[in-house]
Amino acid sequence: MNNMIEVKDLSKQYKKFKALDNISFTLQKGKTLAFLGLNGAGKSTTLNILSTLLNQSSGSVKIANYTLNNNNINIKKNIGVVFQKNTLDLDFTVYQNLYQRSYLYFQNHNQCISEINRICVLLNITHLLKKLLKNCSGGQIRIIQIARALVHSPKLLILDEPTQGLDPSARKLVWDSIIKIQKQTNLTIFYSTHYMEEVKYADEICCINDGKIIVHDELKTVMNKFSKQKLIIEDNNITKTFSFDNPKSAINELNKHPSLTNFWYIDILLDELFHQISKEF
Amino acid sequence: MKAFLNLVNRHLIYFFKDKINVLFTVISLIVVLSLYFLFIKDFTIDAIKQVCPANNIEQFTDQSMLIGLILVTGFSASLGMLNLFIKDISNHVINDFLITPHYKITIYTSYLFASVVISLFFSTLGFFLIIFYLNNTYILNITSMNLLSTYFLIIINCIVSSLILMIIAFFIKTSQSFATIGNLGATIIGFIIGVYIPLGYYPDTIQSILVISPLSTIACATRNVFTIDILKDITFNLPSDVMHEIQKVFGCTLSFNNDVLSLSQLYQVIFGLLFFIIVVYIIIQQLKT
Repeated sequence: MNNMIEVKDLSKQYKKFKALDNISFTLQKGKTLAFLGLNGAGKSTTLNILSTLLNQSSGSVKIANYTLNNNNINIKKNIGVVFQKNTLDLDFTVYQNLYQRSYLYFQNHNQCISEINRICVLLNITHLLKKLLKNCSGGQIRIIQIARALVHSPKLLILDEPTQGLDPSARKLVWDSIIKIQKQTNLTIFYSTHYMEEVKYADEICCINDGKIIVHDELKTVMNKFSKQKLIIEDNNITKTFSFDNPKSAINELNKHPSLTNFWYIDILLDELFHQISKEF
Repeated sequence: MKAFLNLVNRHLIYFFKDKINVLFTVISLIVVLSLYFLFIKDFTIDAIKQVCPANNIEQFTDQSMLIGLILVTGFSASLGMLNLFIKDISNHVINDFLITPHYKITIYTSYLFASVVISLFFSTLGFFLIIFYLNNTYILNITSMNLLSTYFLIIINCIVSSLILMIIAFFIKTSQSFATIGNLGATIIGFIIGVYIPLGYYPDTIQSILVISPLSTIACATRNVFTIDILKDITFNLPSDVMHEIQKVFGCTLSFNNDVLSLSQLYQVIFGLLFFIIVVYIIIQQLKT
């Protein structure tokens, strides 16, 4: 099988509230999927089920060909999770944190050391090893969390809003690290995010609303279907806005305005993408 | 097993890194001992002297009451450690352990084990302190076998205290709530194990109910083995009824339906209750998601 994740008719019921309503999707090995949705849409519930932290009410989940609930130990060996909030020990050094967590996978001192070195070199955080975690910046902590999630070389990396609360430069730092890792290891990545500009890192987009998947397709397909480029033209002090499906149509429109004084061409507005999808469904 | 010990090690390092927590645990040990010497000791001895005309009643009273205080220390120390468990749950740190390839019971039991270790550490410290005090103030009169049995029961007390608090902790969401419930628990336990008022002063109905409280039963058995040698010594020339009466008043045994339980019966009750609590713990941690 070529799928890393196979979710079929997954539901989660909390008393009277249905957090997930028969959702199904797959994610191929080596692909990156952005999981989008408003607060309370069911993103965290899905992520917690995939992380083995929550039991589903019905439906089946397969990760790396292991069935959830039957092979949880094998699933846990194959996943790395970066939680929305820091789950490392602030009073420990970066090295102590990574060693303690890696020991839970290897139970071998030498292997822990070599894996910590490998991941720290890969993520360029070797200089932070002796630093107390509480003295690291928000962006550094998030990268250390990624290092912790990858210390046992999992096949699937699950990230729950990995850049939540970070400033733009820290967000860039985190994503640069994730992309670097993905390129070097062909890791499968499943992430949820609120920042629409972070969707561009994904191969596929999956949108969830009220516990139901409303869209799941390749990024380009979703963007072409729901998003339009914009052209703003200033002609004789009059500003006009046009929407297009492709750049050729925009050029044709520009040619119709020989006396224009200024124009702005705006590519796909990712923030609008989600609103378009939400409106549609 | 290595992973389990690694987790326990992490919890212990975390506990000892929190110097305020350690300080307050030590202080609570000193405070309970001071409270005994300042307020409870004289009052208890006066009350006992009216019932029992024996000599050396002071040593017996000290031995009996101080060992009870050590049992409360075991509970308080456990409370400090399990506060970390609540913090790890509320900060979602525990999720980072739960996603590792280990069973839930391994993760949860690592906190329980660390709690037993901390509880035993402070109980042992207190135990050595009272042995030192008794040996310097009087001549310590206890056989090696009874001394070992006392320590064995202290270990059981640490396990039971940690188990009870761990079961409570599964239902608590914040460390503040846990601290409040724990402090309330420590106060109640002071009464149910007869630290503030000797168990013999309680009505028979209450004593019958206390039999199902593991901490009361452990306290009775511990007092029984820790004081039996000195009690035999001080009641040597007195009728045997006096010895049983003192044991009853001081809570060295418990009555159930007006029948006084023997030491072996107390042990049976303790192990029965321990088994029951372990089963409850296993079921609750399985239900915890």
